[in-house]
Amino acid sequence: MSRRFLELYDAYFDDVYRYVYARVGDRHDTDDIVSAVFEKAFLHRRALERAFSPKAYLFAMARHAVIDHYRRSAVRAAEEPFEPGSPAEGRYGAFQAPLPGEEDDALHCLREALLLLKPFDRELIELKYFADLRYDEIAQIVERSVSALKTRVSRIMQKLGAWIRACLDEVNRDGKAADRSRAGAHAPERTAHRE
Amino acid sequence: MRLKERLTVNETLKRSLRRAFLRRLRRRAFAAAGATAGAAALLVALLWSSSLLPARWGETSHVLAADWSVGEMKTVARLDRTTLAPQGYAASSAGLYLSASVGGLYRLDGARLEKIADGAFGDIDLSPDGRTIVWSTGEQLGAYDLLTGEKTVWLKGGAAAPEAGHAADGPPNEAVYYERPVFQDAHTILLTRRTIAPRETHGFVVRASEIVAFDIRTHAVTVLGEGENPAPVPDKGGFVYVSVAREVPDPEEADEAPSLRPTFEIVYRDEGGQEKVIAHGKDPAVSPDGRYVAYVHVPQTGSFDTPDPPQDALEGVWLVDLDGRTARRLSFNVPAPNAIRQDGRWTVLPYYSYFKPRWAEDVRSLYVLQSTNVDPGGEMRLIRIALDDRPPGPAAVVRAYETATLRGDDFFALRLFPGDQLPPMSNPRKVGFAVLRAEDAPNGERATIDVAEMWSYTSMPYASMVRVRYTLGQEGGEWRILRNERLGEQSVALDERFDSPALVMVDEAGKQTLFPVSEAREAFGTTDAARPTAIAYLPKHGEIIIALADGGDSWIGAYDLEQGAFRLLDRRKGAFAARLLASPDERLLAAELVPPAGGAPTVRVYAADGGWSVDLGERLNADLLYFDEDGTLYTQLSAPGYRALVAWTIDAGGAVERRP
Repeated sequence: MSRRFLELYDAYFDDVYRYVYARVGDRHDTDDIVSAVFEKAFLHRRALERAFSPKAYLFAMARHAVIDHYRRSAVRAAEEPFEPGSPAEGRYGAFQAPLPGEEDDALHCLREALLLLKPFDRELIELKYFADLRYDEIAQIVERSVSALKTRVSRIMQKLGAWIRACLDEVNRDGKAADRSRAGAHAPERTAHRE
Repeated sequence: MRLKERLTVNETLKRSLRRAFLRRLRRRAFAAAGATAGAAALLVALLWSSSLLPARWGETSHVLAADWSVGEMKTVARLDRTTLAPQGYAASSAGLYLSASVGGLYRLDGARLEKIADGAFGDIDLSPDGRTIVWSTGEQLGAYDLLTGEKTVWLKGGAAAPEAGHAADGPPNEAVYYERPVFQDAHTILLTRRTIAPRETHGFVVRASEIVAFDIRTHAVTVLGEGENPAPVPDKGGFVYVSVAREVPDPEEADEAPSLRPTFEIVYRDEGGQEKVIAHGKDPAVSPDGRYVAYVHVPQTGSFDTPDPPQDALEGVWLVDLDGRTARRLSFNVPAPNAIRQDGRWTVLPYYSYFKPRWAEDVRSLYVLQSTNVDPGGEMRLIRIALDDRPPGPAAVVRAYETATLRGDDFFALRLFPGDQLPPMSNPRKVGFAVLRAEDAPNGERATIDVAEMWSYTSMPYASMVRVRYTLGQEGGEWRILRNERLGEQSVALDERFDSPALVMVDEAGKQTLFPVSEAREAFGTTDAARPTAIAYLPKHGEIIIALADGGDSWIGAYDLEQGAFRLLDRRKGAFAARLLASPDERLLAAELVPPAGGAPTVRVYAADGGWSVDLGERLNADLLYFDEDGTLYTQLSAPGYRALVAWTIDAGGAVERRP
């Protein structure tokens, strides 16, 4: 019996789930997509077990499943401008409540800043920090070189940092959490980005 | 707490999925153990021998090769033979990788062909993780890293290879060539190694053809045996290869060259080294589940006592069980028209030649290259064959036939309707169809399906709806079209016999004048010189769509047959409508717009009610433009070196999605 598949399942289920959840923003869709991903992985478990990086192989499946989901539902949230009530709004809305002593505003500003990123940049952050993938694994999934990815992620992080700082400054100045319209004031206008 | 941990996981789903996988793994382990038990084996053998087990157990994994049906065969891309004919290709979830025989590595993703790298790649295969291309140009074997773009040479052959020229009895100038590399696993590549030597007079002789395993990590080469073109067997181990027996010339006629028609045997060698001939053919490819081998069947002879030999005697793509138990033909072929008669026998070339089947990621579809023997300078087609574990019903067969004729996939249309005279891919052309009535029939009986076909001309105002009845019968468990008959036709055309040209409708009842063109000019506000350039007929709506043009100006409008009223849909400058077509549900109209000075046309889609219109925004090759039955519009993308179909889904609000 192939224990290896179950080992991989145990090791990566949480990361795959969080990655899909972050991208889709809906609990039920996430459950469906994750189930389909692991079903496919089970069918292709020989290839999965033999892959150089089973994790990258698994995430490539998850990524395609999310893309298929968008195609099927014609939501295309990743390419549409953010509007209140749009599917993109659900993204990161599932963040747990802050821990005691943690600033609620910081979390709010982080979520806002993530939503301002171009879809591809946001996906890189999701793969790196939500899915916990290494650069070489991300490179395999998105078909870019490792060095190009490192440079890009570094720039994204600088951009995110600047947006979050600006957001927090405003929050501190106003003495309350910045609402979305204000957060948008110190960042590029949300427009449809295409990679 | 780390950032990612702020997103909670559905633990219930995680546990329930794990339990399900665990159960399935246990079942499989139990089944595998059971299969090894002597009593079980005996029982299974007994059941097989007494035909108590059905050929199909309901799961695809138990379908015998002979029980698969062909669900669809379609052209994925048409490749120019002089610039893009692939020497090798490999399928992956990221698309297809092609290496052109004139150099260059490409990725084909849907209709998009992207050049990845320059240089010669020859035969290629993709690593299991999809990251590395192994390539062999004959004199060299190497790898190409798809992430970094780094090309590495692993083995250098040619005359300088260490293996060359060492045979004690061999002539000098031996050279070593590496061919057909294929990944066995992440670290091992199987390939053919040939040692050749020049003949004294001309050409060369193959002194050895061996299957070798190459270890990527150590670069060690292990000889596995004689043969060529190995294909590893996933899951079960071992490999399939081709054993070639070339006819030895008669000693009395030693000056004669060996026969040009060698015998190709496909041999399965299991992990224990046991061998079995499972088919006659070449280019074997083992399915991802290790159960089937797709291969190109090579007939034992090209000489027949008839100019029209049976299908199975012609070259084609076949499927055989790994153990050789059953086999079936997947493709269809016809004799090329230039058969030669000599000494009472016919030498027949097949119309189509097939090369290098490759499985897609699952067991239900495979690719194959196809060329024709009547147009050697033309295109090479990359075809995808979809397998189905139950034969399509009569209506599905007619739909597949209609679609194949719309797409120009003659090889599939002929398979569904053997002996058909295919519609020309010139004017007039079929541009859509809809099934009007489908009557399925019990096994062994005939079925009839009625279809409405839409036809039109390019740059000529003519549109017609033809009602056709197809009669189908079963052959070998599959439905085939036996005949088609025309039930009737309604056409709308321009009648220019009068001083004032008019649109007329012609049907069984005769000819009826609809309206003079001058009325349309007046209603649309055109110039007096505007002439009709295209027509579409919407029988359900009772409307005629007409396009008029004068120089670079064009007008597109509708005429209500019941009310006798016109309405203008669009006024355009700088292009005229060379063709109009309506979706079968008459919800959409498509206009092929051509610049009057020439150049590539564009396509504009209109809501038939005039609510909106949208430009597809892509220059197109107008040879192919049609609606399928559900209203998806297909156009042909024509880029340097290749052509491919693009599908456009257009919703009720005019939102367009390009697929793929």
